[in-house]
Amino acid sequence: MREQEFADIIKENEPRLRRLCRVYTQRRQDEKDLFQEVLIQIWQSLPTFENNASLNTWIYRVAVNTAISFQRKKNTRREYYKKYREEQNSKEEVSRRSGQTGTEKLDRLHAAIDTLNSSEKAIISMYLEDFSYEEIAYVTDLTENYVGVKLHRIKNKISKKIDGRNGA
Amino acid sequence: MELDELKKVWKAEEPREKFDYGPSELIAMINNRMIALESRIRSRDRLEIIACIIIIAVFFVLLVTAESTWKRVGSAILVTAGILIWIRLKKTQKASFAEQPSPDQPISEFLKKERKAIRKQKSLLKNIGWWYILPIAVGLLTFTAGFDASIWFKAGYAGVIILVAAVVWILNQRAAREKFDPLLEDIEQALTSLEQHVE
Repeated sequence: MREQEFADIIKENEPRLRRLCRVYTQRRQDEKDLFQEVLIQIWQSLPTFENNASLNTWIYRVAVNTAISFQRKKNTRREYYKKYREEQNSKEEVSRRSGQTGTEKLDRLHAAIDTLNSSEKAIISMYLEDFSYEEIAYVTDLTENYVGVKLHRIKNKISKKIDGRNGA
Repeated sequence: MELDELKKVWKAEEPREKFDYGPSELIAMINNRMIALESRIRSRDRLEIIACIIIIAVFFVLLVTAESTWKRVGSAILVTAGILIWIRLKKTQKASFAEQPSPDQPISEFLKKERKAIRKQKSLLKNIGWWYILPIAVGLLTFTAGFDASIWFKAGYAGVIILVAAVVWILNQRAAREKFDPLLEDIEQALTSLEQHVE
């Protein structure tokens, strides 16, 4: 694949890949590192693409697995992770979560997604990015029917978290 | 709050950094990062190799020059241990690299392979007593027996060796649990989420 082609593909997928990186990291620097790691893995894995799905779905699958692996490497000690979650109210975290849009809704959504495990994060991210059930099934190896079941459960979990914080 | 409503908010979020890479810059960035990673791995490997070489070299000289039989036997054990540890570390590094799961697989397959790799690493750390600590401790104890000193001095020295070996073993068992058990738990949770139950 030519460099220009690769750059075009990454540019097209960049917003959703960056949003995925936010889901799987806690710190801004980690988010940047993960994004670069995702680019490396896509570049290295491209020769293995077999055209059994759309390229963008395949890219997302590579990105999700890279993110899961990255998160695991960062989370090598549960104490470290717990301690970091306790620090989430620090200025840096508030500014990170607020982002440029500063929407409270988005903050609450991210906070709720943080409580999911790594495969649930992947499923809900794909749902929010408007991937079809077929595409989610391709990434997760679930049947399309079961994707619906899982999504329903995850949506309930997230809604409870968000509404619980809302006091509803 | 409706998640469908949140989809709009989710996708409207602008990335904080714009993608400004031209094609050549992008490839250069990727290559630099890969080189940096390989360099880190090589440095770590180099340290392990240097440690083994030092043990082998020092005790080989003692094997040849020591007058005491105990010292020569202890030196022979330590030289052999150094070589076998080096071989084991190299084999483990090669195997880890070869068994790295490919990220283009479905998540469940990727997670299963990650789980297998982590279990292997945990096993290596848990068994460190047999392939790392014991041979070195036995070699040092044998070497100590050849000291030209009182029995009490030798006993004290041997006690220190045994104590240090025990502490290193305990710390490695704890590291195996604290480092790998949370990772395995995370993976099991993620895999359980992907299990397809009929309800």
